[in-house]
Amino acid sequence: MDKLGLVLAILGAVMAAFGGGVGSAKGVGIVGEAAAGLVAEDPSKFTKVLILQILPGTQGLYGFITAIVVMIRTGIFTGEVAALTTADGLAYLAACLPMAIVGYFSAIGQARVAASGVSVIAKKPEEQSKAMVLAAMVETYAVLALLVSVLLIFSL
Amino acid sequence: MRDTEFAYGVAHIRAHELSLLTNDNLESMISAANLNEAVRVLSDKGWDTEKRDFSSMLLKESEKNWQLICECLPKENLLDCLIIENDFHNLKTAIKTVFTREEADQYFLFPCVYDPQKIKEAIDKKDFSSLPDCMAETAQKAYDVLTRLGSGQMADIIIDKQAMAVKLQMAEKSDSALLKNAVNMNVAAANIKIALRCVKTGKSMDFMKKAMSDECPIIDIETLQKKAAEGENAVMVYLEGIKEFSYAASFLKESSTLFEKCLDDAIMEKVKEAKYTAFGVEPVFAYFMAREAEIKNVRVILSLKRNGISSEEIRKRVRKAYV
Repeated sequence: MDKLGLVLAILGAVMAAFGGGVGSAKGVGIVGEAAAGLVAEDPSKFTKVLILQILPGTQGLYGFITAIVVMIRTGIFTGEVAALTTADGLAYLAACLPMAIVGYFSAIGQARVAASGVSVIAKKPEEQSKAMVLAAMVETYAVLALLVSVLLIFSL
Repeated sequence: MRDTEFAYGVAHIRAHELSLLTNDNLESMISAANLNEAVRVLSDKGWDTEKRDFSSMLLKESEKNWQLICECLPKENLLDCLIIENDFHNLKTAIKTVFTREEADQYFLFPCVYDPQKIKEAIDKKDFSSLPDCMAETAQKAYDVLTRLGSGQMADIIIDKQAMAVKLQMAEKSDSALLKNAVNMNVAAANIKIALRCVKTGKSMDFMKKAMSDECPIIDIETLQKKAAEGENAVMVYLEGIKEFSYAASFLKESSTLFEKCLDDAIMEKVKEAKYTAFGVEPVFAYFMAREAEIKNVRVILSLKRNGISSEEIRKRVRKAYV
């Protein structure tokens, strides 16, 4: 039972990486499908839609960063694992939740906007920047969640 | 089914929408000095007009349209309600050619849900049970009517009525409210057209009951039949009270051609809602409808141009474009 704190901290890191990663994988997949639908008809628009496809991938990166920060703070990287109480472990787990949950849902939400943006590019390629701005708006909430998670972890 | 499963199809359709004929393109065709100029507008939009056999050109365009729709759907059969009427036409052909001893193949319509050759085989062998469930009983009834009464019209009526019922049932299974609404409007419009033709030809109430749907979500069929029995004016007053068709009703007095055009335009207006839908079956469905309307418009314009009809007359018959 003396390792429960550490287990909870690791669980938090896994959840952050998992939530962001799965959300991004799904999101990039959705936009990729839409992009393929357009490129099948007009291959010249590949580079324009590729940028939109990348956008929902950032949540996976944020989840990864959160997990790394937990690993650094708990000493998993250096091999000098800190002695964590159950309360400490729970605090790490709670700190990771914003990134895990917001990461997952914002990636899916962003993918929907980006995939709709592919339709914008299909009909009006000159409006690519507007399609990107609309998709990037969703990113705000993933960034806020990352900040909350990382600041909480550092404060522990 | 998740709407994001249509991501590929919707983007693909949006790219194809760019090549649809716009109202301006149609106007250029209508006001063209002659048939050649009208055809040039189509060539400029990428249509294959080389052969000059417009009938087969339009047939090919229709088949291409369905092929594209099938490519864009994540699951087969989602939009079968849009082509099921062709299957019932093929059933009619299969039954009638038994009696006329003509080759049925030349009359079959494509795209269709069921293989027309199998329908033909089943009818030839009088093996009605091997037909699709939605056709078996109807085929037997139509066959019997043709055998006993020799009435091609009655056989047509039996089959057309079942076609409308099956179309409604298939649409009802869809998750898309827009698709359901548009199909309901389409079937309602078909019933209105039947009612008005019955008024013009002085058909009895009994005939109307046989020819029209038993029920339709948008209009009350029984009331429509009663109004039709009273006359065209009564039908017009009834339609004025129905939101979907009130605009079209105002043209009924002017001409039936204009009225039928307005009915089709009302359906297209409804379909246009799909322009603002990002995911789901709606944009694919709307494209199919738009393309079919486009093919219909091209057929009208080219045939009227060929016969030297004035631009003014053609304009009255051309439906609104989707884009």
